[in-house]
Amino acid sequence: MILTRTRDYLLTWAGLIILLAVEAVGGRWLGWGNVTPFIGIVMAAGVGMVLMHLRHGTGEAKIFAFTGALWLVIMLSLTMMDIVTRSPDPVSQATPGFSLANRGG
Amino acid sequence: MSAATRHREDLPGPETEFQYPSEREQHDTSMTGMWLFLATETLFFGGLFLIWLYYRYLFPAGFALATEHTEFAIGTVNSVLLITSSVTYACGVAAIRVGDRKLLFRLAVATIALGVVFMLLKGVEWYLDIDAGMVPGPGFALRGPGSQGAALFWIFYYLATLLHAIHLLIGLGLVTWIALRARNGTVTRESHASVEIVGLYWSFVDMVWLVLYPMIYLAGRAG
Repeated sequence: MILTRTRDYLLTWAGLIILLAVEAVGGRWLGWGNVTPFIGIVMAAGVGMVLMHLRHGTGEAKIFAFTGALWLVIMLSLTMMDIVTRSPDPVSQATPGFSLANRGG
Repeated sequence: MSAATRHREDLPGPETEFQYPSEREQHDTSMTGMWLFLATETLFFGGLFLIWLYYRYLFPAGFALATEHTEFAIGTVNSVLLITSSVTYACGVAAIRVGDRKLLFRLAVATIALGVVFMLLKGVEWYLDIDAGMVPGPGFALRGPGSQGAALFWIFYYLATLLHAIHLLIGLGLVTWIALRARNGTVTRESHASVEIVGLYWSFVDMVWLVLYPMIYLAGRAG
């Protein structure tokens, strides 16, 4: 059993290092910077499923992990939905010379 | 798992609290409780991710300008260190599951060493950032178009990396505690929930870094 698990961990390590290399090279030199956070999320999911044993975890553990991720998605998506659809936007009103139509630096 | 082991885990052990009918039930309850705690931690760090997403949307040029001045090489090396440390600790968990306390001790020490190197490199990085004038305020080095967004990025950077470093320091303390327990023989094949719980915490800190790394060093770079 220990050999099977250790093999899984080493394969996961190799996969994470390859993804990190793709992320670093792509983001630093190939202009993929805006894609890299999604690669980071995939890597974090890999850590959770294998190294944190979520795939073999209890049903309750899986529910708590899923719920944490779900609330995070709700928080991020609803907040951003507000700011990308609001017109006029609050920052433009509060900042002289600033407009979302021509977003600031 | 042998029938004898399964039988032992289905009975109360020496460290089983009175409210649990078996070592296994106490173990599963501990793991579930830790996942609940990590769900709250996810939302704690979620506030940071929200700050980044919100201001990056409003100040894309400033965030791109600031990202160009981050220490990419140190951030990348630190990512390798944390990924490796998660694997060394996970192998330690596998070791104690078959009762190998010596191997757990060695792997916990390796995990601590990797974490300490991460912290040292983080210290060097902060020194370089401050030395380069990347501190929002009167002496802020980035002037002109984009400086407002760049200042917001650097505030996010210091807040995010400080909170992450505090979590990592707590993790180092916990892994040290596990190493001592392994050396003293107070964790066993049948009773090792503490080893797994600390592993969950350590890997969670790694997960947070894996999300922070592209946000700090890569997103917005022109290539």
